Amino acid sequence: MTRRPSGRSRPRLHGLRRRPAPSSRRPSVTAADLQRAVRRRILVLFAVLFSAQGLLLGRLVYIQGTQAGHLQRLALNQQLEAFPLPTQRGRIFDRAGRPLVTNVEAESVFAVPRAIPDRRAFARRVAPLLELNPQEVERRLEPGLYFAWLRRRVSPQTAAGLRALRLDGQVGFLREERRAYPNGTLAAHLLGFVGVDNQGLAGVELAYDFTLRGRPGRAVTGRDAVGRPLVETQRLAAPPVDGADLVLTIDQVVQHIAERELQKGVQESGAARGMVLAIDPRTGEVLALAAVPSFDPGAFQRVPPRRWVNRPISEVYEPGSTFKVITVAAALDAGRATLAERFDCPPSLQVGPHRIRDVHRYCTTTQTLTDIIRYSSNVGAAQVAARLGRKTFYDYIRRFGFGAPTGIDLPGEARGIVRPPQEWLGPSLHTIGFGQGISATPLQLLVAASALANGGVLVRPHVVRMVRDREGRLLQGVGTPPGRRVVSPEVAAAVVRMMVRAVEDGTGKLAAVPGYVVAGKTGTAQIPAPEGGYLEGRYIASFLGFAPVPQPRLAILVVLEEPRGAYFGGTVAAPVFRAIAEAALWYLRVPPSASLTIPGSAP
Amino acid sequence: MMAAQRRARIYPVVMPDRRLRDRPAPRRRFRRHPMAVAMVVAALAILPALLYVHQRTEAAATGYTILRLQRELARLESEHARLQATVSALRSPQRIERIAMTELGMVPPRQRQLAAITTAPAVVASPAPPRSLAERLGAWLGLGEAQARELDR
Repeated sequence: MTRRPSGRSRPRLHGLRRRPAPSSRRPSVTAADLQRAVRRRILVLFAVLFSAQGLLLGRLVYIQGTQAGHLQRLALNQQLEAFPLPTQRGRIFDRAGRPLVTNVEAESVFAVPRAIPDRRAFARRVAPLLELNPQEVERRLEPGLYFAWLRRRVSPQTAAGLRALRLDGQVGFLREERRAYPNGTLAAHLLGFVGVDNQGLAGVELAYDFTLRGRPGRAVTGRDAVGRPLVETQRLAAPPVDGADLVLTIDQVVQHIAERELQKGVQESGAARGMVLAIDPRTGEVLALAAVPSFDPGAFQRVPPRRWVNRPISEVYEPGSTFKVITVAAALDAGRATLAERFDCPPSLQVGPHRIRDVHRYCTTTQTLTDIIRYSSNVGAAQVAARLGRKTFYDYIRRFGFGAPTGIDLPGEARGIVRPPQEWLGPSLHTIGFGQGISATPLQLLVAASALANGGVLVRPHVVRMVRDREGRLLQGVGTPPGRRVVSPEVAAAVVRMMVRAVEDGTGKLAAVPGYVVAGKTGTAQIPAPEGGYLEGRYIASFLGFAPVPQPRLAILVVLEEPRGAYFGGTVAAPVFRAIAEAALWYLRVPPSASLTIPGSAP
Repeated sequence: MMAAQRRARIYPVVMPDRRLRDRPAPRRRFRRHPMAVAMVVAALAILPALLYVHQRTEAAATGYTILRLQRELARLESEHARLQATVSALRSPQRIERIAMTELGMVPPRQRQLAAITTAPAVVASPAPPRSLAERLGAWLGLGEAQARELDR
């Protein structure tokens, strides 16, 4: 039914060739021509459409294939937010599981300097609450900034006071974890402290910072219109690992006893400073480490940095007469002296131009090794040291651990000063015999002497007993490190018996604890002057002891620096030892000895 | 017509199979009830969408609940930690000692006030007397002591 196009409304067909009509003026278009034209146009249309589709498909492949990763990242960056998952810093407990360091949340205050019209007025308003100088606050408010810390981890009262100022938009609060030391100054030097970002700066906090810190995680989440995270979009990129808890070897109560008695001893003797170390000589576990004056680890900035120093392990001093036990043990073990041997007991000993004297004159003719320890004879100890000779004596000194760090798991341990024997000039060999001319940390001295209480085996001191996860599961047990034999058990027992005599009826009588057999040695050392020689009238009084003998549970060293008035170790330090040992032994449920007779002692 | 009525009888006739095109096609059947069909189609199309939307809404609501509970948990944990720190501070030996001595008038125990009580050594179980052959046999067979004794008789 092809309708012939009329001349009046003839369609204009593109692509239709007009056939010339010789007989008629009107062009004649056949149906076949029309069909062809339509087909051609459809073909063109399809070609155009396919081309367009092809272009679109190509673009799609380009976007979805080649650029997919990049575009996906861009979209995710726009829609999702990656944020770190904070970890909790590990807590620190004493050996009985009582918390010594824990975490509490605190608010940190920040300002938005761009939103503050008058920085000076703002600083004047907030500075008193933040306990800061207004100039300091103003300095932090750099114009143009969107964020500036004002004060980290403020108290709830401070935060409430700032909120009451109604500085919305100018001041904001963020919650952060803060280290809490619930016992205040207890064991401050041992525990140490952390910085503003909870990083360990001293003590156990620094030594075990990696263990305590944990590993922060990372998560990605979408946020809704008001900024709330959409839980269903949350993806954990890296799970957070909380810091592990530490269980220390120290006992909160023994530590308290040590600090209480040390404080009392320092006050009574008028000493400038004091230190107490208590360890278990069998295992090397540190039971207490105290130093006076102390500080609050939660507010360590308020005291001068000098007070932060963990002096029992970081500062050296001349041990004085307490070192005689090492001299005598070395002489016995090396076979250079015997228990029955008697040494001359002159009023003084001339060594070259130097003269060595005894403080107490107690003998007239001869003395045994026991007498040397019992009455703390410098002359006798000098003779014993001379018997040993430089090389042998030096070897024994090093064998006892002097001149090298003990390896305690605390930072900043000093190695002490032990000069090689070729540098022992003048009477050094003799003076080192009674603890002058050699420097050691209190810890080195106590550990070395503890070897005698431990049958001649030197153990490594340590303060961490075990590492646990947050749920209390054991991650790492430290245990007792292997010891190292320094003298024979017989020699060790013999020296301990001498020390018992020193407490029973020697210079350390004031250290005797009723009901217990105590071994001890007094020490009174002069303080070396920076320019050489010794400071006049300034001493370090100390007492080193074990209890109960023959199986000591406690090895304690008390050091009082520069006491006023009485300055002998047996007078000022021994009573502190007795008070600590008495209370600690009862607390540790160590039964009193039925008899003061020492098994194996010579009648 | 009348004859037809009179002779109204039905004879079984085997009709040839209807051609397929003569059967009412399903599409034709649907054309008879267009509204019902439209409803079914709409339901089939919309229901999954509704379910999907409902699911997403529920998930979002649950997400907000989880978020709220997480914040509550964090708040409670923080409170717990703060209370633990307070408890530790209250249990500090220094504080207890101070209160005991200043407020309660207590004094440190002196040597005479302390006594070590020696407890009797633990009774060591004596080794069991040698059993008879019947008892051992009974025990081996899993019988009780009474039964073993009966065997002994």
